Amino acid sequence: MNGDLLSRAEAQRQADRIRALRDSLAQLQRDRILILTPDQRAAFDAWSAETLQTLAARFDIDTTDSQKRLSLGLRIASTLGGLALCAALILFFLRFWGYVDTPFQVVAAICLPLAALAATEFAALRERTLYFAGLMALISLGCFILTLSAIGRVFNIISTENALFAWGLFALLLAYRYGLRLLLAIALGLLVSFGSATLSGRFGYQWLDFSNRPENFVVLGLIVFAIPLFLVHRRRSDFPPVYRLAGLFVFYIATISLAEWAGQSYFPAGVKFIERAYEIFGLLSAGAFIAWGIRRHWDGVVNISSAAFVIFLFCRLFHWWWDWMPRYIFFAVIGAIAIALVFAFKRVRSHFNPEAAA
Amino acid sequence: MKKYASLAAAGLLVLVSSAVTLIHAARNRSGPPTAVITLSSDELVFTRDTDDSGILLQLQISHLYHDPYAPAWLPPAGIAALGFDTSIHPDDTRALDHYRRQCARRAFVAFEVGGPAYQRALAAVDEPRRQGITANRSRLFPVDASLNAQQLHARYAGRAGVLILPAVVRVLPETSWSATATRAARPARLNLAVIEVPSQIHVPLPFSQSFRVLPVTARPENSPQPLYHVTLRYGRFYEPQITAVSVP
Repeated sequence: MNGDLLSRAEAQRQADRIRALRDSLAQLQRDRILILTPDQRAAFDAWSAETLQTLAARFDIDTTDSQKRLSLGLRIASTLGGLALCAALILFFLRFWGYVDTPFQVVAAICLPLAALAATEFAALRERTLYFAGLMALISLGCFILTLSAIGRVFNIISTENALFAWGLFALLLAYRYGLRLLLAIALGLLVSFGSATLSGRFGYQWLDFSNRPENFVVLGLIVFAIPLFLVHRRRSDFPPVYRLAGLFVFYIATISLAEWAGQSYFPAGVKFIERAYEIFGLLSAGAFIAWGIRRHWDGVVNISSAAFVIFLFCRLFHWWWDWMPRYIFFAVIGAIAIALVFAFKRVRSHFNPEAAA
Repeated sequence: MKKYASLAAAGLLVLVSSAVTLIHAARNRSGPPTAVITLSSDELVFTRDTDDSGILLQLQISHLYHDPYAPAWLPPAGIAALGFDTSIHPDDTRALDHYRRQCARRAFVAFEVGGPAYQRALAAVDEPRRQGITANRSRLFPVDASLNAQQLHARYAGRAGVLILPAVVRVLPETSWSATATRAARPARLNLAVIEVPSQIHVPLPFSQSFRVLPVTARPENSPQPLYHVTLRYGRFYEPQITAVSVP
């Protein structure tokens, strides 16, 4: 059975299900609802222990709650460590590069990411949990950013958006090779920025001002969200949620900024009209994504869309009432609406409970 | 071998993108230059950074061109030719919103070092303001802009001390004012702000040695001559290369 598993994430999910089943069976036995015969119990215990052991041996997954908590700490430590080492390496390079000739500067700048790549592969071969590989992959990306920046600076090259594409592609390759979600999120951020900068450049604007055109991000965020609908991730089953969350995060931030200040919109209409239109669009799309997320069991989509829905709603209320309402009444009304929302969400929630619905 | 395909692709990406950047730099430096110009420490500012051993010079343009007393350096027709919508008069109540909504655009700008346009602008500014302006000593003053670099080259062919650079520009509406005892009336007008030009210039070895031994990084207030002169050669992509440095 374990041979069918394709990724560490799936193995972790299966281990979690087995542990949950084991706990539930123990609880049912204590409550005298379902009592297994000693043979059945022994067979189940042997099967669950063996399966967890096999999964742990093959994928180095967490099989206890303590291990899971420690793994989270390890992930945070490796990310922070990777960022700190990146900063250290870049600052070390900058501290001494001025004392060497141009050819040496260029060769050093090119060799750094290649050496970091080799170290990432070495770490990945030595350790299946990939904490060190993740750390080294972050350093590789930092070194590659340094490479193009340093060569650009040495030859006084006018910056272009193309470097964002190269960095994004590099991060994407590392993310898929080692199954690193943080690298995937960084890659998507870089590629979305590249897309927006390219659009800005094509319209004759400065590419570095790409963040001033939120509508580019609205479209690009939706494209990123839609990628896993067309691209099946059999080996990297934990990647689609990253696409969905990254896409929606970009989409909502851009829509909220347009709803608050539409001065940089492509639409030629009045600013106030565009802002109102984006507010309504944001509310409707958040509602639609909540419904879609519930149907498809996308927890992250439901959570981020609920947060966006509340932000859109509160921004609207702020515009309506903040100026003329006494502050204490404003906050009392906000509180009352929050309570009403809790009731509304509870009712929606009860619809998804088959026993309650029956 | 297939097992290492993505790793090889990542390594190849590093090599290819570095090669493309180096080829771009080589192409920029090959062929005839678009400009060769000698600038002083007034236009090329040097600052030390203890965390960065590389020597960088910052190309500084004169702030005088957007002084409210200085004449507009580009007529409205020239601003419209860059792609800006100048259909609303700068005195109109909708002007501020209309021009604020227009993003910065890319264009080529011709600069002149201390030329007649700079002198005219300096003469238009009254004495107390002139004192403040000289804090930024740069005399690199914009004189023309176009979407087409060749057009500018044709217009300024044979004129020494003109530097054509790719720039990022933005249209600015400036409101009118009525005459007072100290200043004449001025109608509302459109001005073009130069938001950005390629300004960082890396100083390679052996030229960087001259900068490391400089006792100060800026010309003292009473000093009659600049700290250094740097000759720049701008290549076909308008990217500079230092060809000579002289420190008196």
